Amino acid sequence: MRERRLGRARARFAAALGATALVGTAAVAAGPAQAAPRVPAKAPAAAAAECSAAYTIQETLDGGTTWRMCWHYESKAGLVLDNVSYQPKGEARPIKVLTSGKIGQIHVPYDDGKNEYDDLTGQGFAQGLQQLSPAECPGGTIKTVRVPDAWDPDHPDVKGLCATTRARGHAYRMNDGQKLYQAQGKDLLVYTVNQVGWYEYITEWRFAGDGTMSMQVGATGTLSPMDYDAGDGRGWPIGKGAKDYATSHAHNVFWRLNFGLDGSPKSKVEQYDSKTTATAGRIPTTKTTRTPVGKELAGDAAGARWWRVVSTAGKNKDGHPRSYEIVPGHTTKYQGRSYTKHDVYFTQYNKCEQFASNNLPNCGAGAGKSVDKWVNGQTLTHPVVWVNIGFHHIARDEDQEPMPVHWQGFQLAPRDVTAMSPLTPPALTRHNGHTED
Amino acid sequence: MRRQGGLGKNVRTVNHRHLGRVLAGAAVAATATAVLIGVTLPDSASGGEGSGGGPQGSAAEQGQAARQLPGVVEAAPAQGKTGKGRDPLTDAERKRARALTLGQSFRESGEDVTGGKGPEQLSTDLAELTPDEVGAADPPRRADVTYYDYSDDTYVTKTVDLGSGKVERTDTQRGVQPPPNRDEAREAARLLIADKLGQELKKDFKDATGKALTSPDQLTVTGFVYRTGVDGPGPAATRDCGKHRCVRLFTKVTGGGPWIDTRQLVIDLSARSVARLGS
Repeated sequence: MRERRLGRARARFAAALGATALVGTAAVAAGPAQAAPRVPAKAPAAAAAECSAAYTIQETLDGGTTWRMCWHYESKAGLVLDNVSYQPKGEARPIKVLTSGKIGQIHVPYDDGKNEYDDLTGQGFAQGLQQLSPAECPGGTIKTVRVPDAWDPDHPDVKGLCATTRARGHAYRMNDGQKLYQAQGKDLLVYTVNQVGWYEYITEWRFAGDGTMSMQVGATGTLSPMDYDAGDGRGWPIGKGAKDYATSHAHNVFWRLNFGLDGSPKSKVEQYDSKTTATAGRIPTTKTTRTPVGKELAGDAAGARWWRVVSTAGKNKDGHPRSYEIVPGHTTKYQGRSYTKHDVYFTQYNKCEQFASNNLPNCGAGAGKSVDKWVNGQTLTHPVVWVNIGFHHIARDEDQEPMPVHWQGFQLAPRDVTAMSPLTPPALTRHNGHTED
Repeated sequence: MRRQGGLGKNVRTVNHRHLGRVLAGAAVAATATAVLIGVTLPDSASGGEGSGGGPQGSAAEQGQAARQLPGVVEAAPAQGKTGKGRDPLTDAERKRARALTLGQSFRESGEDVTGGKGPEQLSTDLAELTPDEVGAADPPRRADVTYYDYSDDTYVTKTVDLGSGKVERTDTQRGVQPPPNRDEAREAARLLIADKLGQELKKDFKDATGKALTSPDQLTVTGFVYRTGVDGPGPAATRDCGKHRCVRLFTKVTGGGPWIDTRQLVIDLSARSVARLGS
């Protein structure tokens, strides 16, 4: 009985895999036909992502989860993903998560105080979009991006946006004594590579079948060939002996997330803190408290603290409001600038607030040019989330050459977006809440 | 000791790093191979989806990875006159946005980086929708067009509704410096080559190539903004940077040649002068 059920589940699993496709391939020009990702016979009606098919990225992953989004490219921030929605199996309509998501700044201060770069607003991050080789987008589609006001007006088009899928290992595993339930997950992966000076940044957006989004920036390319300094104790010797010291530096990456949960700009933010009390002779206890974040906040990560953005417009089938939890990755918080001193900023939406530092649009006299200045007590009804993840790069011998990619990033994890995990095998869908078989 | 006394030393330091050439060559080779494989593989090999599950699944995964095909390159989509929803601006929309925001008077009064008539045009972007417009059935498509006017050192952003053609907002800021465009970086290189502080660059170029540096075309430069205050007080000659439009250059010999470190040299595009940072 259970055997057969599992068999059916497998069959469905395989069918879902078969449906995997990246749409927007109508204009395939180069490349052999047989390599083209399969396009669904007809796009579902719900697929309208508020842009043309050519600028839509849509992928149905293992387990039947569909992610949809639009993309465009900005002159400083580079890739922008618009109207990002998640439609797990069993949901009639896509659930909107983000109105837009993009990089909000990459701030690169060198330890010796000689150079400090703002890669988006002072350098040519967006102009540095790199052409991708088909070999680095296996199984996917490389879209042609028209770089606005391209430096090379004769070649404004860059084959520079990869949309593909990538294995991520176990999605889940459970052995209930009779049966092994396991699945190997695959993510939709969307990325660009942008060169700034000698560095190359791989900006990845990953979308998983279970609703998780993973954002990370990988730095590669080569170490600054001009910053080898043996004298001031701010570097690490990477040549023979102790002569060529690569100057240490930090990459402080900011993401700007404009939430639109359940299609509404109005969301709430909550902070959770857990406190563990150890009493002699007893097992320690932990109490978790929720603090509504009603006003703009410059948040500091702590060992037992997290935040979530909560929908005001939709609930899951258990009656719980949908939310996304912010899960920061490892960070080294740079103490040198006011805007890098906090890990996450929640600001009330303001169209002029576009870059975490050296903001270019005008927010008015005295409004300030960095995200920390915009946290000034406004009531938070339409939160924009700025996530700051820092990486202090003390170069090592292995960093030449090309430099192995070093990553920094965070996740947005669904919390109560669906009543159960959308990847739940059919045999287990009754197991919602307390169950006794 | 920091190698900043003479640029010549820097050239020798970095001379062996023919990064551009080596990396570009490798990329081309990989592309060619990839296409070749793509053509030769039978259709069935493009399926590439394992059934998952168990040790056999793992083996299948490995096999799948090995035969996963290179990405398919999509050409630039055919453009209509106007984009839909959040589509990127079409060429026609960009052109229209620039024409509408420039206007006769700005074209007359503004000044570009070379001192020519009309402001320096920097960027044209699809504008973000406000929260109340998100989700509207037919949200407006607007463009933010930015200019730098060298006649009075202002950074001007104009927002135009591409539907109505109306310029909805003109915003003028002083002391805000976005990344330089190509014309500005090129002009900076030209000013540097012509300046007495460009002597060391020319010497380095000669050392690296055996040729004389006479034109910015011999260099591949990207510019980046220099602001006094944020980037340090700097010498007196750069005190206006920030109010003025000042850039520094990443400089590479065109055609895969070496980097030449010109970061100590600040080119003030507003004053058309060059200054040197550091001790």
